[in-house]
Amino acid sequence: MTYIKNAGSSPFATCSISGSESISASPPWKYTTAFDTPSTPLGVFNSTTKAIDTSQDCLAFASFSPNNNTVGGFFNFSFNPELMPELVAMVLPEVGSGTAGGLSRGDDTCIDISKAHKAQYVYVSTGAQEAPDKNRSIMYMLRIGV
Amino acid sequence: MTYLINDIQKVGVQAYQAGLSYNSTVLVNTYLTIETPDHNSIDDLTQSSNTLNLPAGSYLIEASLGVVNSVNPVSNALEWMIELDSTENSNTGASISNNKAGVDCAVSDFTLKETQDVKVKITSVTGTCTINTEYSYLTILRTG
Repeated sequence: MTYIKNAGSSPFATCSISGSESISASPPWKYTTAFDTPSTPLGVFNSTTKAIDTSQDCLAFASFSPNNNTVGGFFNFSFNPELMPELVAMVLPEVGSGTAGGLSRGDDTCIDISKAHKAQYVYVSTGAQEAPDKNRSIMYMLRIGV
Repeated sequence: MTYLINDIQKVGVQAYQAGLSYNSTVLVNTYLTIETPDHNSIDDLTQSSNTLNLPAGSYLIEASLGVVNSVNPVSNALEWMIELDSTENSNTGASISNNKAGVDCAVSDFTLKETQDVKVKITSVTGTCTINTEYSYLTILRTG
């Protein structure tokens, strides 16, 4: 008997940004272009909540790279910030080399374990551009448990 | 009898991790050398200098590079991607660069029905860059 691996059973997925979906600003949380395109059936984009929904718990990581920031900036983003604003928020400090900006300094990833994954900016400094580099920004997840 | 796969499937995960290196100034459209793995529990995986041959299964792969920058990290920057069967198949991993934040990892996921080759490719070079192997690695998770 031959078994053929079914892509639909993969416990892994990457999610990209198409640019056609966004998470509206609802202060203090900022406008964020949503990760809306999962690579496998592990996740499904929910156009109402703007989250990637998974039927089982998944460990998910997300990282943004703002597309163009000539003024420098400070970014802080998190998964589902309205639910856990103090938890697993990560920072993209100092992006840009323009007049008011310094040199780029770093990046990081926010982490989440849940069944609904919505990465969103929490703080963005004045003048910094939130639009993402869609080729760089990435969310990826793996199913955990059974 | 009906099986609900999400309810019955118990997934065993195999893992592979190895350093990535590059022994000269980095050039675009070239490939990282994959070092001898620090860990490998993926049966039937084989490797040559810059290529991994992966058996069938579902995969999640991360590739991260450390770029040596003694002066100005904006003037010297790299982008890289994971290549599957000679096709770029990931987001763009990137070091920090002018007006943008870096993204630590190029990440790829795919399911193979037969063996395929994977490489890590340099897709953009700004300035003059060398790789710090101690900060550069390839991590693979697989379910069969």
